[in-house]
Amino acid sequence: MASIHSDIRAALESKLAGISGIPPIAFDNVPYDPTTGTSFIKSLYIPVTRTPAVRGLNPSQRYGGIYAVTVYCPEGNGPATADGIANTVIENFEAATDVSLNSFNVSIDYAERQQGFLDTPWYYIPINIGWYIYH
Amino acid sequence: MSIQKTFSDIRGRIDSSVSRGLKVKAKRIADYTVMISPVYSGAYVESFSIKARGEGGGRSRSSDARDAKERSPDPDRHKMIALDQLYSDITALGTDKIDGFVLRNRSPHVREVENGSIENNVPAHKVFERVRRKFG
Repeated sequence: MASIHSDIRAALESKLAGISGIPPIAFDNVPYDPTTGTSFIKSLYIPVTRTPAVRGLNPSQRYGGIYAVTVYCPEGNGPATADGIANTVIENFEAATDVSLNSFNVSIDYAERQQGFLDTPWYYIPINIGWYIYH
Repeated sequence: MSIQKTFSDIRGRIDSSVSRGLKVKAKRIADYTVMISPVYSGAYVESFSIKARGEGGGRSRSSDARDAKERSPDPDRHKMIALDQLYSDITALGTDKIDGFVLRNRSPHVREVENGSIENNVPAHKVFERVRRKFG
């Protein structure tokens, strides 16, 4: 069922949007003009796999993918702000937990961050959240 | 002595079978990696290499050396070159026991392709993360 992706995306994006204390979020294909000097978060939904979970006719499918969240903070101010935001995001997408929206559950495989990088005028930390769902 | 030889033969056959399986997996990873890789100048996709675990080096093509980062008129050609190189790498892994392999890309802008860049208006392609998610 192809429409499952809109449900998965909605669950993940709602979870991110519901975290308190994080900067504004730039969602997929929504115009967002970053203001230099102001932190923000970019979210990207990436479906990767769709494989039968069992053999036989009309099997349940295992969908898997990545929810890529990137934390952007102004460059030159040290890593503490970006680190703090990244930690908050990871804590809210903890591995082995479910993200739910309207009784629709997406399971989290892992949530990992990388080191910080410079992309002038930003300092950013990429976070990759692995998700899956049987449907 | 003959029992030792039998065990040695069995171990040799197991090693050979494991190596064949790893090469099949390496080929699937090569196919998928090239398929999902973006092509602009072609330098990024042609910089992939597959090496035995612990082996150094790898390819690095720079778009700077390709006439000022111009968009290639034939993206498929670069993908074919990349696939050919990766298949050669897989063949070069040898027929003896393979202890695993590593997919590398040593192009100068690999991080930009993976994570994107606001400054250069490059979207995050997450090629390595997608390969990892699919093949574990």
